[in-house]
Amino acid sequence: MSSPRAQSTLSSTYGHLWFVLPGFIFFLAVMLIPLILAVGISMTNWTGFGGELEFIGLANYAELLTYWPFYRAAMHNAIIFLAILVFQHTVGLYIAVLLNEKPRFMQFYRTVLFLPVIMSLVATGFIWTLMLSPNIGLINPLLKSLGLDFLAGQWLSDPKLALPVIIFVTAWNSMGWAIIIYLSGLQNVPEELKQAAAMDGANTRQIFWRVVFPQLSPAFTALTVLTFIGTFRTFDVVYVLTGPLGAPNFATDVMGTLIYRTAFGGSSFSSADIRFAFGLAMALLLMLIMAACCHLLIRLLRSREIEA
Amino acid sequence: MSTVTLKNLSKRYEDADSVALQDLNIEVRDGEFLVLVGPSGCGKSTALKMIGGLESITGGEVMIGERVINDFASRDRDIAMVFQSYALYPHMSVYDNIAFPLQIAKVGRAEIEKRVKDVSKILQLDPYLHRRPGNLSGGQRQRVAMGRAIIRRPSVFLMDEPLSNLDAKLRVKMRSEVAQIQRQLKVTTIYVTHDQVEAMTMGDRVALMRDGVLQQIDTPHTIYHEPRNTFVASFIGSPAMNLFRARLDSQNGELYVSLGEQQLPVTRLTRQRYPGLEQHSEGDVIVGIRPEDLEDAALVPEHPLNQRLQAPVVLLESLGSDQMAHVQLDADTVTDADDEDDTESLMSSTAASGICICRFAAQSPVKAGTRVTIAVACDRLHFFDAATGRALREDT
Repeated sequence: MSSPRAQSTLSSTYGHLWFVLPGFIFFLAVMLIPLILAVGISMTNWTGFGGELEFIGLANYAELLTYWPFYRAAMHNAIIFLAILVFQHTVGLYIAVLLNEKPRFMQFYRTVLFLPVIMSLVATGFIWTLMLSPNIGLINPLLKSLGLDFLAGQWLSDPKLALPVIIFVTAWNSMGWAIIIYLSGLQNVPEELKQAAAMDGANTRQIFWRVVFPQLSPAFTALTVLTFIGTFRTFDVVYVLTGPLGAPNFATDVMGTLIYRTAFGGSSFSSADIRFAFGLAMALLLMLIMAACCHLLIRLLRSREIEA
Repeated sequence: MSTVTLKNLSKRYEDADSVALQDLNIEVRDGEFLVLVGPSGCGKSTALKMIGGLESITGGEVMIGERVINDFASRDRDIAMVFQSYALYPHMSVYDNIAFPLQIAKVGRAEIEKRVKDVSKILQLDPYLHRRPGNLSGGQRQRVAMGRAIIRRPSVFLMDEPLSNLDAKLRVKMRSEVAQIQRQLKVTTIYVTHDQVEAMTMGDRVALMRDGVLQQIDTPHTIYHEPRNTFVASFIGSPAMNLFRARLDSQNGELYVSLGEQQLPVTRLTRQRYPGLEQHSEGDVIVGIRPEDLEDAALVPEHPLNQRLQAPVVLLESLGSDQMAHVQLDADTVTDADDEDDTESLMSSTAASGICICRFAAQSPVKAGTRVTIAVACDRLHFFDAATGRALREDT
């Protein structure tokens, strides 16, 4: 009589790793190996063309520390982040609260408000370029017909207006996320909690601020982190609206366009200005900084959250 | 004075065919502990929410004292409520949860601190005041919910199945604690439960509801011993009252009830309790026998010989203190359609069953599969109209 074969300690401890293997191989091929290669290349002076390259250690990173356009672009990203954050946590939350009251045609409103999210940023960016054009655009004539002539402007070529326009278009585009995330947060607040507060004497405003709003902290965390990642990755809106140079006069230059220009070349740059390895160093540094910031953000915001 | 009066209180939902609550008339006396009990969907929670202002009123009036409060917002009704889920604010400490109603009412900090201290002493919550509800056990959370309700000293307490999330042992303990606190504070209380044991042990009076209609409102003793209809008879009491379709016969002025081939006399006492029997002296009735009114005849040899039944024991459940014998009688069992599927007819007969549950003393030597002689306490039989299910009393 044969007894069933005893499971080896090794397979019982690590047997499950076989199931992870296919995913891990894929991750290795498209993420890990390119990342290691990128780290390697960022320590050379490779321009992206030809085979000439020399190992220069951390020289690219050292140069970045004093590279002014890097700070300028990062500053623009930070401004966009803060503005969008405020917008989403105010307007987004407000609209979510209105939708949570289940108005008539709610499905319709929700779809319309979420539509920009699913549309391509390149396409919407292009439409906005047309609308904002001082010659053929809709916006200036519309302002004039409303008697608001003084507001009409050179939207994308005025250095003072260009960044706010980028912020506006990004806000319009991403508001759907804020609404959906807050709406799901609001729908998760138990009805009985609000009823209990009403019985305890609270009015509608007190119920919202003292009972409902604190329950939304997971939504607040998720949205803040997503907005942080999203805004520091901004590229397409700027590329379509103001070009790879972040026109006018780099007023809308962000990390995305700066890295793109440095690594692959912008329209007015000759191939002599292309520094692929330097661009890589910039991208890797940005990744590191973003990862660190996200970690801090999540730790900070999670500590305020409540266990159910 | 905080009496609560419900006058023809009704609720109909727009998208529902039937009414959730129909002409509910109850007067809860000042300081009284009234329990609303019934199967799920009977409208008891709806009624409670209507009193609390959490559900709109589609008909009738709710009065506290002399004031009609139909159009008052919840916060203006001077009512506190304990919810089934406790509804504690998870982001606040126990202290803040209890203090919340006072903070909202802008009571001074020193006064709040004093009152929270008093309440936490009553409810033994002192060691937990700085914890969050997530770190408390079920019983502690329940106490916090009570604390939040009593700190405001409202004129009325509403409690919506506050013990149903607790385990059986804790529920028994909290049952007496809640009842004790209510008696200490003497605040008019309306307590909703689906558990008839809770209803019987806690309430000064019990109101039993079914399908949005009040069936009976009485003291626990009366509702148990004088049920107004078969539904009340079968809902209150565990195990439920045995109900059989039976024939009433009159011989020489004496009444006899036939269960299949066997006959039991209807005693003088029972005839006094059920004067309506006289009109049914030659006809079908429903007879009700509580399990504790059926004893193993071997243990009561002095029991009158004509007040006995014989039946085979199908199943025996020992509870230690006593044993439940399921015996097979040659009679039609009547089950009052409860929250089961069969809700169309008020009563349905299961001819095949005939199972009768008897509560025998632990000393009974009876064995499953044998035949047993059962001593029936014929003074305590119950009789109901075979068609309507109403008790055969004068007033019904």
